[in-house]
Amino acid sequence: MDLNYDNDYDNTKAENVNEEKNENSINLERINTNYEKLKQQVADAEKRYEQLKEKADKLKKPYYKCQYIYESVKETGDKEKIDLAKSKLDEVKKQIQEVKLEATKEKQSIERYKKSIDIKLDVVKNNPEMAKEIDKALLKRYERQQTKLTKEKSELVVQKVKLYSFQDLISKHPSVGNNLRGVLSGIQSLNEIDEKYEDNKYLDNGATRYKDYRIKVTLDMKRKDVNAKIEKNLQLLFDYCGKNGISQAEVASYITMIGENGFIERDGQIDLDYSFNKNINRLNDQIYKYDKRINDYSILRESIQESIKESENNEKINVENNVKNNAKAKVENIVKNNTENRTNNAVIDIEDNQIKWWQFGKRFKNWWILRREGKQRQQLPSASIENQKDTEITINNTENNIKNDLNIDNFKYNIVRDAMEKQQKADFRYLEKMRKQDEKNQDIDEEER
Amino acid sequence: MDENMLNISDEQLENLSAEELADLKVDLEELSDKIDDLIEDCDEMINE
Repeated sequence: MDLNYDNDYDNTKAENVNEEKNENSINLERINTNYEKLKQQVADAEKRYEQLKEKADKLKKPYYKCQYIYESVKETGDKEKIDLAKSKLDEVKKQIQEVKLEATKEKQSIERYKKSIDIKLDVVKNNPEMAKEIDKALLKRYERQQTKLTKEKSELVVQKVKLYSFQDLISKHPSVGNNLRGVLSGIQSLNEIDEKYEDNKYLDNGATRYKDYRIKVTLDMKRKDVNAKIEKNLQLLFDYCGKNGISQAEVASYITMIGENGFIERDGQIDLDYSFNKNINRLNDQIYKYDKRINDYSILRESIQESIKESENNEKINVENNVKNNAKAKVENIVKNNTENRTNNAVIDIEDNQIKWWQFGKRFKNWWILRREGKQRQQLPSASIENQKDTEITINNTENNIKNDLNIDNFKYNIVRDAMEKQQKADFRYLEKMRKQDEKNQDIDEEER
Repeated sequence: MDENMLNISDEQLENLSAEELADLKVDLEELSDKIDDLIEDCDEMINE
């Protein structure tokens, strides 16, 4: 049986690598697809927002018209007309409410996912490196967004300043004001004619037919007159504004702005101040919103910049700590090595010292033995006075041997003392012997007598 | 939930990179701000 383990191993390894690569590419593909899907969902939500905005914008025209009618009939005091105008205005408001409801739902779903994303980001931010990457990505986006908003805001500010100048010009020259009123009421008339025109026509197999052809003719004639009136007033307006540095395009944009955002009629004529102030207030509101958003982005950017700075400082501290730790480790190693060297040297020293100590011990042992021997030898003469000289000689010899390590005076003292004791004992024994001899002699004398 | 509404599952968010999460967050913030403006416009007309 041919067991080629090497080849089997290589094949398995290659298969595993391929599987891993495939798995990685599948994961990457899945993640990318997933991200693209989510981006698409956000883009779809953006489209739904655009549709809602379009709906709201379309409702503006009937809203301002109904509001204009309502405000106009209010002055007449005709209750029936007022109620009718009010119900039409409420109907438009109801449609606006529906748009608002849809927008609110969309907003809620956006907030929900914003929260989910924030939670995920917080989790990811536990990793300092990832936190830094997220902060950098957010900072970039916020900077871009802030720049965009700042640009849009500055456009609104310019628009507001120009509208002020236009208002100033109109208020100083009542005839120009009348020209503007003529244009605005002409547009209003055209809108009404267009509505009536639409009501009067219908489609028959793709062909336009009219319910009442005479109404059509009358409306055509009215439209022609109104157009002529608008044309005349507009030309006068353009001429006068042109002389005062306001271009035709700018005048056209103000007329559109005032027309779109509604105007009202008071005392039989269009209230221009109301229309101007209303538009200027609207621009102020928009500018305020932009300021608020730009400020929010500034706060966000500052906080992110601080976070990045903090993480960079932490990194710096970590690097410094690492350097310090490395330096400390190096110092510790050096100290350790030195200590080990010293320990080794110390061991050698101790070994040397041990020899010395051993030598001292040896000497002490010698001393001890000699001392014991010395004592024994000192005790020996007490047993026999004849040994005294030998002992003295031995002691003297020993004394010579241990001369450097022991106190010789002690020996001298002991020797003298022992010798004295021996002499005393010898003297006692002699005196006793002599006394016994005297007693014996006395007894002999008494017997002889 | 409304089928037309934004419908992102937590599982979908699991697989996203930090940069992708940050990107989506800012996209949603921008959209949220626009919708705020729209709601405000609607309120203005309703309450006027």
